[in-house]
Amino acid sequence: MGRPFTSVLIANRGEIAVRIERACLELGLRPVLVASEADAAGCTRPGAGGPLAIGPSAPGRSYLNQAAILLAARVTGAEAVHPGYGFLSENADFADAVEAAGLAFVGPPASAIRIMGDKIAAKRAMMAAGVPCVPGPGEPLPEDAEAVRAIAEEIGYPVIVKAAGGGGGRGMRVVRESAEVADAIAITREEARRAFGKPELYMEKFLEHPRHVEFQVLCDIHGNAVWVGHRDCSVQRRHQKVVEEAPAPGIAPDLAERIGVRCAQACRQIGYRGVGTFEFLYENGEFYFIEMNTRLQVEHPVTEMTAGVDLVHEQLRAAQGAVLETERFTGAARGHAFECRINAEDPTTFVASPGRITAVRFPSGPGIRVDTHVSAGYRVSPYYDSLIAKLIVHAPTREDAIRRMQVALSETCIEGIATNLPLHARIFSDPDFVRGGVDIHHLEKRLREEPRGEA
Amino acid sequence: MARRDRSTGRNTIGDLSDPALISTLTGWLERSGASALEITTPDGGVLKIALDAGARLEEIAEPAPAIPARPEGRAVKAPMAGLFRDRHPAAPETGPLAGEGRALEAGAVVGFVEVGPVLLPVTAPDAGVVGEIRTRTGDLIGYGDPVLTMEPSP
Repeated sequence: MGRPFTSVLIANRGEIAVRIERACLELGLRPVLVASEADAAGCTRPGAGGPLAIGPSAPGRSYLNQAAILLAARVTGAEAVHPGYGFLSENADFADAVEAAGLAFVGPPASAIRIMGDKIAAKRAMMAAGVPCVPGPGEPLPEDAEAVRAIAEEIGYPVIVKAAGGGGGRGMRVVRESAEVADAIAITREEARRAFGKPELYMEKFLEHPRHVEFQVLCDIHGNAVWVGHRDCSVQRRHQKVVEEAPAPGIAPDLAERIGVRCAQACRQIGYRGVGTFEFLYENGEFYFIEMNTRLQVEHPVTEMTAGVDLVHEQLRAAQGAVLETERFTGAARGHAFECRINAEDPTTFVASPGRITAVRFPSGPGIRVDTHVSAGYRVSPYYDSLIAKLIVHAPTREDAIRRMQVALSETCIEGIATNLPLHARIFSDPDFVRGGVDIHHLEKRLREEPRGEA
Repeated sequence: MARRDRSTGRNTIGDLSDPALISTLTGWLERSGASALEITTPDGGVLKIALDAGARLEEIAEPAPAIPARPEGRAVKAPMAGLFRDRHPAAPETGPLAGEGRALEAGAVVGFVEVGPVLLPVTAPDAGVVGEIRTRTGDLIGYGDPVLTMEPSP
């Protein structure tokens, strides 16, 4: 449980490691940076004080290597571990191991990670807290194909079969008619067994044209929990978010308030701590819970800009046992914010583009924020995620924010590697996107229609 | 298992024959990709754990680094992050294991990396003469940092 600490090992890399390091320094905490051999060698930071190399470049032997991270915490005297996002951030066993080593885990208790990591348990917990879920039983599917077919009939086609251990768009299959049920179950079960080590499946109604809208929550260990705003992350390609915004446009405030309050209630019921995100599908004015992410998210800055909160500060304070000042949060947004994920990848083929950045220029000015770890001379490694920077803008209205992002994108220049900057320019000139409220298939549809962006 | 004493920051360690401690350490060892570890206590107690030779070999196996054809020094690198020790902490009266100019056999221990109760030997990959010492005892070193260089035997 929460306890004071003065040093934090950051078990991550890239822009989020820089982001967390900065927050630690602002709070007077000593940050301890660790890195793989490749990242440590590629560190462009002048002088000493670079990260401590803890293992080879392969993530399994560095950023995912629990023993190496715990030993590094020990030798550097770190008293807490911040897992960032990805890697070990949603690994309940790691959270347990950190606490067992006498260190504070900057995140929720392992028990909460475990519940939310099992999508069936998560759905049950949400139903118990009165959070609306996608229609379908909160129970594992039976083995018998006839029984499964009966469940599908009851929900009504199309349905989606999902792995209980999955998430983030992996381990799922859409079924449109009764004849497809048996095959879909067999294939997904086998995939789930191999990918997640857990063959359990569940079934839900498949929504055809939903938006992805998510709610940010913040909790302390004293039973205080608040929701701090919502985000729209519908601009996706292959389940990967590309552009995010806050607030989600066109959501009735009283509906948002009702959902947000139930999310906070669910947090109290499962003994949650720190920051978390409830992901929903939103269609025809209704919200349907899909999963909870028990960590800081890539897109957290758009909420920070519009809610006037530093989520990493709050996360660190919660881990130290501080009492959350709930009256600071109303869920209402001030102005509008967008985030573009700038990836080192070809803007039309989406093939990763590792290599050395020869020159870089990021925009600046009012309402502009850039979260990045790269600078001229940085070598983008093929071993890791291709995210190299997040460009975030904030303005009084959505229209102003769009214009601000258009100008900011035109001022951004990264040379030496391919990036998806041209894709972002296309998105911010797409009339449907500019109007607001596109669904999760919109970007892929656009890319099929105009693969090269001649429009 | 070993606990960190918060008031003094010193490491204290319990009974080295404790099966729970041994199993924890063996788990660390397996996951860290090392094949053996040695533990010492301030009062001179020693525990050695060696993994079964065949265990988890696929995961541990690293592609062998290409041996440069050039005759100049080859770095001996740290097997994990920790504090470098130029001699066994339980035998402080002995000199450093690898002095400049000393001839070493392949597999000779040139020093240790220490993290709390864990002590991993740093070994010379092949026979040769110690060239330059790159790390002082007590330094915090990272995985893969060069501890010293070796020249081929004359």
